[in-house]
Amino acid sequence: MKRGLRKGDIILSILFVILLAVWLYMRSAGVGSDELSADIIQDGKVIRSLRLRPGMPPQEFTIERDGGWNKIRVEGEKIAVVDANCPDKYCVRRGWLKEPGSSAVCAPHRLEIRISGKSRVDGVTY
Amino acid sequence: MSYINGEALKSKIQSVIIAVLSIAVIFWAARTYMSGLLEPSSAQRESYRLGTVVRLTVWGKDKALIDRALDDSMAEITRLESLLSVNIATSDVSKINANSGRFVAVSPETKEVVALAIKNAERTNGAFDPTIGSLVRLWGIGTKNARVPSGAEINAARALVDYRRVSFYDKGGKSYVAVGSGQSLDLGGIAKGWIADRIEALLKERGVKSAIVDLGGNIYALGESPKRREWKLGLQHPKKPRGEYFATVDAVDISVVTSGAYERYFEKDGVRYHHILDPSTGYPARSDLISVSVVSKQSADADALCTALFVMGLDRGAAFLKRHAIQAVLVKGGNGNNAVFITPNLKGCFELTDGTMALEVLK
Repeated sequence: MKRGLRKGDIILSILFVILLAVWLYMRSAGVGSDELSADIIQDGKVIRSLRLRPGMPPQEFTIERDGGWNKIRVEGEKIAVVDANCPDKYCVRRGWLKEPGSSAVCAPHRLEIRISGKSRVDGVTY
Repeated sequence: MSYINGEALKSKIQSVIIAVLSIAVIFWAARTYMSGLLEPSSAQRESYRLGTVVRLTVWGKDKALIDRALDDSMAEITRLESLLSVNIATSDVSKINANSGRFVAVSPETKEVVALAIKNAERTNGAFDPTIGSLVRLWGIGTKNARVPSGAEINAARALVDYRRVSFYDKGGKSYVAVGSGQSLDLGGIAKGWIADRIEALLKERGVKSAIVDLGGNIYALGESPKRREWKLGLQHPKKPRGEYFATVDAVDISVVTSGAYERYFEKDGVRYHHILDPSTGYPARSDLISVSVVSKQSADADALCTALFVMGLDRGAAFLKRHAIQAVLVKGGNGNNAVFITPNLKGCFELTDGTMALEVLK
């Protein structure tokens, strides 16, 4: 009785170790990272990161610095700059971003919004 | 035949299970450990340079080496920008323009870019012209001063555009460049490509084997991809937001540069004025093309030729590509679906991902 219990313990702990190894492996291999997220990058640094999930309630917020502002809207799995006080408004004209790797750049405010997640390509020339 | 009781059988099964599970665990551990060793790590630097987003990504096993190579590359980009930018008052280009009609002592790098720009202007018969500065400033496309100039203004600015009036030489270890009186040099159509070439050389010199040098969409795919052999580069879809592509090109140690009318423009009275100016008319090029990508070992050439091919349009462009054995992807616009033309050598590494576009291989 006592011996059997010990073996059970060993099996349980081995199973636990295996599960841990599988989980770690999946994590390192990036399995399950199909979920999209959007990075808000200012001056080359990520200042905010948002998850993009279908069915999430829309949200709007403004990134402001030195008098320059960009109004950003998130709706489910897409994100866009909807308004800004930069002279050219290219960031606004980019429209909705949906694909991994897509980005809207506001050069005057040194701001970029980029969708991360698994992309089929290593880069996009434009 | 021996008699095995229930207790012994149970213990045997347990031993087998433990043995199998132990092997599995060891296997998993080894695999995870090995993949950690084999998969090179990567590092990235991103910044606003050259009026756009510059992003360098390097893969390799030596983290310290990668970090140093990246930092030095970013510093080099900043240094080269300070020589070549028209928007920096102390740059070589600004000095050349402020002293038009006279020779100005410049860095050897500036002279090299000028020489390459003139080479590309010559072989494209001025479809690419680095003396387009007067027209670029007049239109101001991409700035808040963008406007449609008068015909007289355009004619006056156009008269100053002529690459044949640029001269340069080296003497006593120094380099000199002069533009004609009143002319304005603008290396914006070649500088990004040339800097990409320089960064590619710098990274290789440091022993880097895999990197993506992305200077605002002007990409150099250095070496081979760590995942598969080829890098996969997307070509910006001319009618979709940035980052969405209509085709991919498999690239190994080569540069891909794209120019399109969609990139910078303004609208006035319902007319769209884009940023690719035709040196011969002084107006945004009335091209039948909406996007041009050039694949080349020399990013500087690719950069200059994209603009030139766009100005030339499909027929002249296709003839030029054939004559000079240059690889490119041309997208023809129009009311209906867009047609994509590729040079024959791209056949094996080009994939059209937008099913609504028609593909044709040039002869």
